[in-house]
Amino acid sequence: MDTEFALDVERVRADFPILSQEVNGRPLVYLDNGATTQVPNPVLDAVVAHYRTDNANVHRGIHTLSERSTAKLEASREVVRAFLNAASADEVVFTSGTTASVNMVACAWEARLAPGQCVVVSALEHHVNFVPWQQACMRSGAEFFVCPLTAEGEVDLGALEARLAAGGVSLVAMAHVSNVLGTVVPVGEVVRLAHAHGAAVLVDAAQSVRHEPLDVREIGCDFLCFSGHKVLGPTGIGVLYGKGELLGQLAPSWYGGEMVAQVTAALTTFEELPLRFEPGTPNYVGALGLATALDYVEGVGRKAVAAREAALTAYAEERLRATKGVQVVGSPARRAGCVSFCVEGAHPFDIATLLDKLGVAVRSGSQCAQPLLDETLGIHKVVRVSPAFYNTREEIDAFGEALERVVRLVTPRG
Amino acid sequence: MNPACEAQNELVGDFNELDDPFFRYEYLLGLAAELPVMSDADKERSAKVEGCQSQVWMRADSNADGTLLFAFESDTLIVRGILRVMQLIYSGRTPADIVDCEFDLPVRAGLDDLFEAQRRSGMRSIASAVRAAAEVSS
Repeated sequence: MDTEFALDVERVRADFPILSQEVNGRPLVYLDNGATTQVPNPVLDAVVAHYRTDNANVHRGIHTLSERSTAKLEASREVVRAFLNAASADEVVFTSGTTASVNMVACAWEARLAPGQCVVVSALEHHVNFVPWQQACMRSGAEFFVCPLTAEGEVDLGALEARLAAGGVSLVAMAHVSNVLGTVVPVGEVVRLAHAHGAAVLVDAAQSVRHEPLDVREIGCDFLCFSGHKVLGPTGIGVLYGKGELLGQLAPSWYGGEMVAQVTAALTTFEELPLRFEPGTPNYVGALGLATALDYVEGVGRKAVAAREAALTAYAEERLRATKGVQVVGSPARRAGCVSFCVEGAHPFDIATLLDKLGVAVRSGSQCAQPLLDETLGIHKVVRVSPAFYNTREEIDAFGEALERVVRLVTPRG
Repeated sequence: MNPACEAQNELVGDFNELDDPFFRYEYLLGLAAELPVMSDADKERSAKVEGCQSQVWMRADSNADGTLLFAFESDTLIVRGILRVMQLIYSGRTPADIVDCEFDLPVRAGLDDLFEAQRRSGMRSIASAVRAAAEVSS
């Protein structure tokens, strides 16, 4: 057992057979967990078992299979509630992911926006927590304020407070962890500042769900979103958490079956929470997969997962800083989940493509964060390394050695 | 035989002597160094094709004998390597030879992952642009 990083990684890796393969003739080193995590056998087994024995549409039929399928969906909702320590399962809406969740809130929130009001995001944001708000502000005439960063890549809380104090801020939408810099944003403090000035807060937890404490009542946020596939679950499922009272005030923006109570030619009334925001047939198998994934993380130990990922990310950063020609992007006080870098004189596309030929999977490009890279950092494209708790120190070493070989190959000589 | 296809076959043979994918890309980077650097002025006079991760410029000029000369540039070394390959295959050829010689080296030489993600590199668009330039000149 790798004692420095606490958990029994060999036992864990046995649950992820995808990790034990060769790519381009070399052992796979999968370090792109910020894009998506791998799915453990218990999640795969749960999904297949549901299709084999309990599959039926939910909240509709009165037959036995429908009852069983519905019970599993609602049990999955309770698992998510407990994971977030939400006050009620009615505050947990299943969506197709963070993108759907943020767009849902932004669409509904637009009705509250008008000239003289403002939505604040940070310069760290992924496009998903930037563009929906920008567009809502453009359509409503509200101000769209992008809170700047410090030189280290942290959200400038002083600038945030100043904008809040100037008045008119309706909502602050902020990432918990940056998908590029790994910056951990003190969202509890952001909530305190925002609430003191009458603004609601939406937290994008896509990059934090796996390794940061996510007690929504302790954080105090009004909304929180994450995607299942970032926390060992299947794709196509995610969560929107909303404080009951506030969530209940939002109008649904997608309509269809199951979210309605009564429909006539003259009038339609809507179901109570959370079904009001789950039109059509929900991804109930995805929800079951997500719940199984969250249970898996709990079983491994959330603190153990967090500690191991912090240690691996720190070790990856240490290897990067020791590699000649490599420039690590940002130096936040706390970095979680990922570290991005540039190589002097080399394009990130070349770096990532060549690393792939040595079996190492990383992400290159603008990371769906063009405002951060282009407008704030002036870098345009980076390479991102994002370990998960099933990676090993030896894999980080393999990445470091591969990077050194690639850097020697692509950088100008002399 | 079509001289463009002869040149392509020779290059395919060169790449296939290298079993290891990394060594094939290393060879590609060597070819990238042979591609003449396009000046900023020439870039402005060239067609630009943008992929998600790399930019490509292409310029086609006609020789007096009707053959076409191609100049390329990219901001990534791997794509520069592929562009040098395309230059070796198609530059100085007649339009008919260019049109009759499909660019299939990446698939045959174990570099096909560069073409599968067209959004990443824009190279599929460049191959189409080379062909289009030849068809216009025919």
